[in-house]
Amino acid sequence: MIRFENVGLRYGMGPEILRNISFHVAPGSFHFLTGPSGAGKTTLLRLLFMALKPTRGLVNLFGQDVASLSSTDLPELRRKVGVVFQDFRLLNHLTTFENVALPLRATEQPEQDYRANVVELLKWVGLGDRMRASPEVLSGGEKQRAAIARAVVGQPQLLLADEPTGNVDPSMAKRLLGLFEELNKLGTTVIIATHDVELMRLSDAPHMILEDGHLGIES
Amino acid sequence: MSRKPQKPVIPPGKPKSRPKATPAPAGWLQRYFDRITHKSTPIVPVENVIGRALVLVTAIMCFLACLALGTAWAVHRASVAWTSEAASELTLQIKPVEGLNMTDEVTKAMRHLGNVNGVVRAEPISNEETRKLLEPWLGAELNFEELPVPQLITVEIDRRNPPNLQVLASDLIAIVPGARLDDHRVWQNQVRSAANWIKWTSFLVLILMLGATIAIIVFATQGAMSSNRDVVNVLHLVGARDKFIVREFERHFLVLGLKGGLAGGLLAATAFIVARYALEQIAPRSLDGEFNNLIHAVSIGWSGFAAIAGIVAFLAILTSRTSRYTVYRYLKSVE
Repeated sequence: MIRFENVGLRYGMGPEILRNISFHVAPGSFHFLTGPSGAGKTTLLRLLFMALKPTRGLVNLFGQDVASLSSTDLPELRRKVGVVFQDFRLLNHLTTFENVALPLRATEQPEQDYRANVVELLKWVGLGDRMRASPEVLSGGEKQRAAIARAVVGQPQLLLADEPTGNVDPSMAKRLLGLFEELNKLGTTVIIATHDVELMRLSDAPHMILEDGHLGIES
Repeated sequence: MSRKPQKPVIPPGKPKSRPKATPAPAGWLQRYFDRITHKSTPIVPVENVIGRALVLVTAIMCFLACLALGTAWAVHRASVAWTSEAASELTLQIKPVEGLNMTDEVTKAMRHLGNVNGVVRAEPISNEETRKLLEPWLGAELNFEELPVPQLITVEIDRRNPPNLQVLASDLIAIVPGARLDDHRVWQNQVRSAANWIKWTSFLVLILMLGATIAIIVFATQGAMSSNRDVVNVLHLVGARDKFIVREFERHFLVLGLKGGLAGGLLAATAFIVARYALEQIAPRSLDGEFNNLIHAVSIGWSGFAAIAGIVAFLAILTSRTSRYTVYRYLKSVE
């Protein structure tokens, strides 16, 4: 599903943030991506959701070389990836329901076709009674769950989460991890970027450790 | 480096616990109705400073465009009315000549005019009417015995079969030595050139305003794109195509353009109605004919309302098409 070979990335003329990154992620697997702050976790995730292109090396997603993709091919590929951002990136002028339904609305499906699914998903993440609320009035945990719901509503094959427990207490972090594991059991490949050691202890998923631009693996 | 899922019982990305709801069958009419009545919040935030400023600017531009076009149209109508009236009318002026009796001269001129093909009617202006015409300059106590006032004869000609005016003038001079035929050509040319000047100036103003409007819309769209960068980024990341993003912004700007255009159009229609009313109030009785032409020219009527509606629609479409182009350029630049 994901194949990186000798990938390097630098911003402009600056130093390389990522150096010779090579790994392979099989469909349906679960991984933690960890490392100290500033190690390049978010940059690696941005490569994975095609917000960046590598300076060198090969990034192959879903069997396609990202470097050879045209701008018209990107939306189709991005729909296979769900992303949960550290800062949620919910749109405050939309309701929670509309935020979660955004990926489906962006595919120009009529609302009546997806409304029941979105409502069911919101109930599943515990936001059934917050559908009409603006993200501005949601708590950190609720925002996180809304962001997760938005990431999975399009039934992506790959789910990426950047510090998904950074804004919640340990009990909520545990609940969110359970949510990710449940999604993984249902077949979605999950990669969680975090430096929350306690969270990683709760799961036996392998760790991708990013340090000083290099990637190591710890099972 | 990879781990097999514990229970890969279903294909990746196909959650079993969230079965897809079966949508109720809907015909095309129902789908269309749902689309136009759906109450989803617009993806581009509606209320912001840039939007309000653009509505205000579009309203002002629409108002000025309507005024410029309306002025050009009114001047055109008035000049056509004035010149067509003048073109069917001649004035024969008979100056007093030493030793000749004015009454005899008028009779000779009237007799000749009566025999010319293409002359429909000829009528001497009475002393009373002449006194009224000269009253503003010479006062009410005008004595025709003391002052050698020329005699005027109005001549109405058949515009479809007009007489040869040069031949008519020379014949009249031969018969009546003090005669001078005025076909108002100089005055007509002056009116026409003044009307043309006003019309072209109005069109130039209109073109400049359209240019300024386009520039303002481009700046407003760029401002909206900058202030909605997060919205655009999120839309990209959830897999929205550029076409979808452009359409959302285009719809947003179409609504803004329509709001501004309608406000400006309503204001312009009101201005024309008020102008007509004001002209009716100030029209002096002695100049009824000329003022009637002017009042008629300023009256916008149904065709005027249709023209205003056309300007409103044009500005709204201009706003949405300009923003569409600007958004496309922005999206290409951030790829």
